[in-house]
Amino acid sequence: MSFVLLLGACAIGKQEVNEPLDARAIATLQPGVTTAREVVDKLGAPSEVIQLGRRTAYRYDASITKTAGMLLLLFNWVTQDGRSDRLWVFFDDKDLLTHYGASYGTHRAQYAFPWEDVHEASDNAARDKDRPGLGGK
Amino acid sequence: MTLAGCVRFTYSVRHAEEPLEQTTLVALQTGTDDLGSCLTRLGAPHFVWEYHGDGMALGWVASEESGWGFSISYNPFRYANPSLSLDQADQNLPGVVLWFDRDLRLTEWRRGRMRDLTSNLRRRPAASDGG
Repeated sequence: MSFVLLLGACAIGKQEVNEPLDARAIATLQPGVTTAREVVDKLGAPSEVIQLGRRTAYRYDASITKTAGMLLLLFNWVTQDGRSDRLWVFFDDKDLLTHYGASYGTHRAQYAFPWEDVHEASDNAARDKDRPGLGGK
Repeated sequence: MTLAGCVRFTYSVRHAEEPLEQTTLVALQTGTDDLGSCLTRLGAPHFVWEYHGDGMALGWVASEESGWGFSISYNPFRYANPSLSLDQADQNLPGVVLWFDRDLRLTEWRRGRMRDLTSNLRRRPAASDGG
């Protein structure tokens, strides 16, 4: 009975910004070959475009924040875990891709207890395995 | 019971992003590593700035915060605001910044508060070519 009462005091929330990035599409980018137009055709409009002298860079990103909490009479706890997918693509003055860097974290966001380690390598590896383009199909 | 309705203690823990490994950072070699090798080792940064014309600076942030809070007149959303906002480079988050010269060779890297590390950096939107 007390367990059921405690369940009523639990709260979870999830906030997502943008769609997680497509790791399989990103893996097809080829520095020295892919153009800015082709990047936009594959990935859509970037979140930001910035000028770096003669070069330009496009930012693509997505984030997920998971919140878990227990709300009791005198004491509450709340845990938030926010992760992002990020891709930066760098172009020369002819709009040819020169470099890119990608990080994938949205699938690693967790509903966690306050004492929990949310950065365990084994846990990250297990989650990576299920994400298409990283370890999944 | 009335007291319990308006006085609360909250323990909150906030994780934002994954911290960069110290071993990866200390392995970086200024003058040898370049933009490509740094992106391969560290992944995509959170921020990119223009630096000395054709150079650039890249920034990564990660935060682990926890602490007790006390409130009178209870509002759970005050503690459970589910937003992760890393849009402002001048936030006082801990992070790492790498600087690259015009040949995109690593010239320096530093750890610290982003507000301190990025005070001399700027970013500007790309010029539109009308096409």
